[in-house]
Amino acid sequence: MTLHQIMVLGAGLVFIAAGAVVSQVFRLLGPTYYTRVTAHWTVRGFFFAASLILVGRGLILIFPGEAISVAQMSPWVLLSGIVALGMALVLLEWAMRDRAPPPWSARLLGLAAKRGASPAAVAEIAMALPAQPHGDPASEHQPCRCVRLCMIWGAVITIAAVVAIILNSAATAMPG
Amino acid sequence: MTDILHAVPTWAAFWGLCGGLLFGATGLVTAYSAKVGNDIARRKAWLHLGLGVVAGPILAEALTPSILTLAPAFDMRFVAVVLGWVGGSDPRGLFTLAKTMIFRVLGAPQGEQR
Repeated sequence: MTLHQIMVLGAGLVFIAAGAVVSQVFRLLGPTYYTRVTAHWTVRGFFFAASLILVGRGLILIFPGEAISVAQMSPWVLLSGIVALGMALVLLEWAMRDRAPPPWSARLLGLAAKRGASPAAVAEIAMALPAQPHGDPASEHQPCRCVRLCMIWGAVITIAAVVAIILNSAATAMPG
Repeated sequence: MTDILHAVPTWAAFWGLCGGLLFGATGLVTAYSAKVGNDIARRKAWLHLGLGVVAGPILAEALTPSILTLAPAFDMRFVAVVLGWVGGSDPRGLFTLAKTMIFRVLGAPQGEQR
């Protein structure tokens, strides 16, 4: 395994990781995660395409076939992969923010102001409103900590196993 | 037994399974995280994992040969893993969009029954 081959495989992994993070950003911006930031469907569509493009970019570095030549790959590819991963992580942090209060609470505040409440009183009502749009639903059931950790660890081990299989296949079939 | 072990990585379905597993597992990590997880997300994440495990190999096995005839320079494993990843993400909207675009390009009258 020469250093160049390690760099090629590393660049591929970095791009795949960036694609995976952007795919989660796409999920977080959708209706499934209703307590988090949502975005317009064009923005979500762009993130869906972006995750596919990033995963494809990473995979073609790992399994080049005859489509591209990785023998002359420059280190800039690895660096731009790291940039893509970093920006995807920042996007992920943004997409995990709480949603703003829905329009109806703003209308309630307008109603209160119209009924003659002073600006200070309106501000107090605004501060007292819950941050989430409709609070926690009655059936909100968080599984206990060990179930959650087991699921996450299982998923991480699965991802590591699949990545190991991919890397092993790429390394054994690599020319030179 | 070792024959099978050596033959499996040549199947497109195996690499499609890898792609679907990758996609499903990352969805599980997000859904079970303390910060953003909720009930609906957890159920959907398991569904996407199941979809990736089932539809990934099927899509890969079905479409890899045709894609490889169109573009023989690609490595079979690359095409299969990408197809497995796409299969896990429930691309029915993508298919509807592609169908609409193809119909528009072919000039077929809108609303045609097939």
